[in-house]
Amino acid sequence: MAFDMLIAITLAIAAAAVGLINTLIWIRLANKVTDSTVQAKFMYFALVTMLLSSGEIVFVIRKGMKLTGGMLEYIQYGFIVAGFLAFMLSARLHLRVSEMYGVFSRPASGRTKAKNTGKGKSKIKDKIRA
Amino acid sequence: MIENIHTSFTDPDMAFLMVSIVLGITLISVAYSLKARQKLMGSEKELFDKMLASMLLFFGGVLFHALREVAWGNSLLRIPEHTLYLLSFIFAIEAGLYVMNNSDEWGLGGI
Repeated sequence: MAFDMLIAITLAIAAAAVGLINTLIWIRLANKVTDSTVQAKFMYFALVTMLLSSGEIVFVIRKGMKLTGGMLEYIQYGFIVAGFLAFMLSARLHLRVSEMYGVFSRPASGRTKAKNTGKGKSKIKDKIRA
Repeated sequence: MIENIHTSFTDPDMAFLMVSIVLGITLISVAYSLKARQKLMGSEKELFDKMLASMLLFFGGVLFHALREVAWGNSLLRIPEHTLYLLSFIFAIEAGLYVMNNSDEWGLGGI
């Protein structure tokens, strides 16, 4: 086995291990949060890292079994594409949560309407009267 | 000859298809993320930046894979590819630890 392939497999094993630890961290965080929307957000992050690290695990298995091409490669990249899809959904959820709830949000500066106190109108009316 | 050079996908076009799909999804994700990011501030924004950086690093790894296909199976490119994947997961772990440290500030209780 070529030296660069050995380094690549070592890196892939490290990435898969770190990814799995990461998944456990996010699941642990999700379990400790009571707000269901925040919980869903953390579960999405767990899903993202789980799918991406699964892609790395399939790579290690494929190289370990000396299989080039074929179905396992499609599965590997299927996991990666699914991981990115999960991230897209998590970003969408984040956006929705920030619009609906106050947990992770503040009002968008461009969208908030100024309160109509009526003071401005009265000043104009006063000026007209004067 | 090309069949001998390509060490990865049986159909090299598949790599470009995969990268195109991932690129499309990444661009949509980044657009959504930047829209959501505008509404965040302080530590929440930093968490979001870490997750975004993690995804972009992983995407960098996918791009190196595509480059490997173009470079006729240059196997040395596997090293930066998997290094970027590893860095991506390290960033995501940092984001997880960040949530733990800031849980009180966000009103999530003591995580």
